[in-house]
Amino acid sequence: MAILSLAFKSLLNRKLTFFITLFSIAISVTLLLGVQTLKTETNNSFMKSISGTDLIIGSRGASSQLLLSSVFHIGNTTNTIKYDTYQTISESPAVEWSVPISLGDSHHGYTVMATDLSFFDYFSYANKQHLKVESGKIDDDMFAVVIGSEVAKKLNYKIGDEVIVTHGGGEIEGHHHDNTPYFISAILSPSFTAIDQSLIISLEAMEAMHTDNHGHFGALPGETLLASDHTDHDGHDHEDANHEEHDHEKHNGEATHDEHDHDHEDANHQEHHGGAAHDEHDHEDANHQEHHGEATHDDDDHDHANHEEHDHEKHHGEATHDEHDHEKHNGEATHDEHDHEDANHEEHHGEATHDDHDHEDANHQEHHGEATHDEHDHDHEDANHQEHHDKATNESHRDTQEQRIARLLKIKPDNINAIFVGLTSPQAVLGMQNYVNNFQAEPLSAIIPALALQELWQFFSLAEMALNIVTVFVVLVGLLGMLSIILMSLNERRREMAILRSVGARPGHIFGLIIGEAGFVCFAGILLGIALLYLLLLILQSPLASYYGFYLDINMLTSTDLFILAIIQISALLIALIPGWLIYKYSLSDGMSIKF
Amino acid sequence: MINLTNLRFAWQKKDIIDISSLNIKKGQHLFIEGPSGSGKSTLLNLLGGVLTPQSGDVSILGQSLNALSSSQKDSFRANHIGFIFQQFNLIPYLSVLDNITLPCIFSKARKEKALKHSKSLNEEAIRLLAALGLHDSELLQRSVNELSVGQQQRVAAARAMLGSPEIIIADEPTSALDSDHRQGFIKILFEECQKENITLIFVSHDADLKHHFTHNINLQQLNQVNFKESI
Repeated sequence: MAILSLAFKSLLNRKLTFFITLFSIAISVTLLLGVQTLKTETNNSFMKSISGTDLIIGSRGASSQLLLSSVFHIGNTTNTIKYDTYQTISESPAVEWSVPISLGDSHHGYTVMATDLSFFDYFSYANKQHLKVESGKIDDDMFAVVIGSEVAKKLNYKIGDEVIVTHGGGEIEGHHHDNTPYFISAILSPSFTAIDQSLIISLEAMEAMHTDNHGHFGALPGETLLASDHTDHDGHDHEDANHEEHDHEKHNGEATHDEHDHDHEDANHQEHHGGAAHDEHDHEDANHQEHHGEATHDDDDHDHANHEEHDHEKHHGEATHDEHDHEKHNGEATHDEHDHEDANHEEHHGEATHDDHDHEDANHQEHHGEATHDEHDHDHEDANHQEHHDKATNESHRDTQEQRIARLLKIKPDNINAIFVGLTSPQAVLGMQNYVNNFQAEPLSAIIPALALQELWQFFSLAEMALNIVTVFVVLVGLLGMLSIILMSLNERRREMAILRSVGARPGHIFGLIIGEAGFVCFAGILLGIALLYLLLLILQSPLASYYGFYLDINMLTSTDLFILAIIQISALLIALIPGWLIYKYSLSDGMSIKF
Repeated sequence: MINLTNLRFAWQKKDIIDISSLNIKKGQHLFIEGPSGSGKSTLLNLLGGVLTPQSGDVSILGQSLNALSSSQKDSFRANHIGFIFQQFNLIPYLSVLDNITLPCIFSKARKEKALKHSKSLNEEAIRLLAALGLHDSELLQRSVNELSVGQQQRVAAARAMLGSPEIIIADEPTSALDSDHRQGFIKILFEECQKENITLIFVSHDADLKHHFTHNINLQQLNQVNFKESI
């Protein structure tokens, strides 16, 4: 061991080169271990992206694409599947729970994911952890949005803030759904999954802004339209279309027409008796629109009438009544009713809540092509209306006109992108997968997340390999640096070796001196490298988590790491054989006497 | 005590040493005169067992070096021979004391002998330094590179004497010294060798030093290789 102490003293005598070698090895070791750690941690966080979900169902296609889009929100969303399919599957006996997922919108580059509330109950990641709410609370309001921790942090959002969603993913601005803003109801705790970079909205809300007219549900009587909204007036076409039949009838004969109108009114009125006086008004509006189609009417009046409540009233009072004289045709009962309508109008104005109108219009849209409003719809509207009112007062958020419409429509989504499914028993997975893959109504595919994750990870194996090769070369460069430094020191150390020989050192001692030096430098380099690694991990842990949403778990070195370190140590000793052998030969030929 | 018989050594097919016979008796102070290039260094390496002759044998203390393996020869050298060279005797990264006690790393026998004189190796080293005229304890703190050449040579002599080896081989130990120091150094060396009954082989090209020695040999005469022709 005395020879090692000699080697150590010799090293200390060459502090500069010693420390340079030490650091070059330490840095290469840090890099190598760092890459290993990063690889493991990336893999871990990758594999932790989803858990507890037995199957992910999407349209037929590559499983990796479905996984990427549904779990990682990366890449194009897959083709859609019908909402009906979701309902069918969710009723399957093997299915314990199922959550529909719809994607395709973004907000400042962050994914907007539409789902329903059950998502928060069933979606889990890592070791079956559920998403946790950091602040606010998950609200089942249609326009409530739950945002991921990173979205909140980066965009500096608070509870109650309004957000506007862009159609299409990515940073490039697509169509702004600025007529349907959302309000933030909850901010999630970091999960270090794609959810951190996502906004979660309701399926209904997503569907609402994706209806044919992009959520511009059009103007309603009693609402003042913005000039810019005129372009959207096409949306009214189908409303008118709904009434074409009426118009037609009306044209055919006054009596029939009036009667028809009146019946219609009456019917509605009775249905919503006491409930919503607005309904009458709505029908009045419908009538009004009928008039719109008539050539006999003054054009000016019609235009105004279509867009302004005021005009409508005027029209109501003047043109319509004069011309068609409801009272005359309909008798006293109608007359009363008409009075009633007027009263309602006033009342309605006073309230300044036009939700009913919204509903009515919306119904026109929804029941595209239907001439009659059935009772069911109206009831439904009313129900929605009530519900919404409660909410609107609870939240500081104020709905836009379109939102109110959309809200009351309670639009059911037609299509979704994926379904997360939990099964009653793990044994059911393959059977269920088979069932889904052979689904009759439309082509579907079901993937098992754990397997698909593994498969997908294989894609990275090439990059992993490249990274490995690079780090191996970095270590090799470190060791070669050590070799060249030892080789350079050999000449000046030949005298030292000769002295040692004269006092009785064997060539083996001299050889050992070199090997010992290399081994010591390498070992110290490895220790320093490990220390540097943990220092780096400690320093980087919190910024990585907060800025990149990547949680770096600091673990003990794995057996693989130790194996790699052992290989480095052995390589250093093997590389030192070269100068060792050289000095051995020198010491044999030089003997004890060096003269220079 | 040291017997050379028909010793022949060639390096890269060139004869360097060809000595038919040489006997050195115990306690003898032998001066070997030889200019550089006369095969001096090679002879010392042969005596030390660092080089192995092509033919003939070196026998030291009754032990034939040919009979020993190279590592046994290294141990034998460590145990029985102390060397002093012209200069650069000291290892720069070791302290003065570490330089002196260096042979003890490789020779247990010398370590044990050194410990008979003093309680510790360092104490023995200090004792030897004092005997060689280096009393200044401040000297011990200095790096060996900061010592004067004369001091360095005395440190080297102390190392060669530590643990009382039977033989000291000095290769031009005084050529780096000025004449005053040279005389003093040789005087001290003689005294110490006398005291310890050490056989001293002193090799130098400087014939002026001859008169200090009871025995002297001219290597050019002894060595039958004619260098003037071959060089």
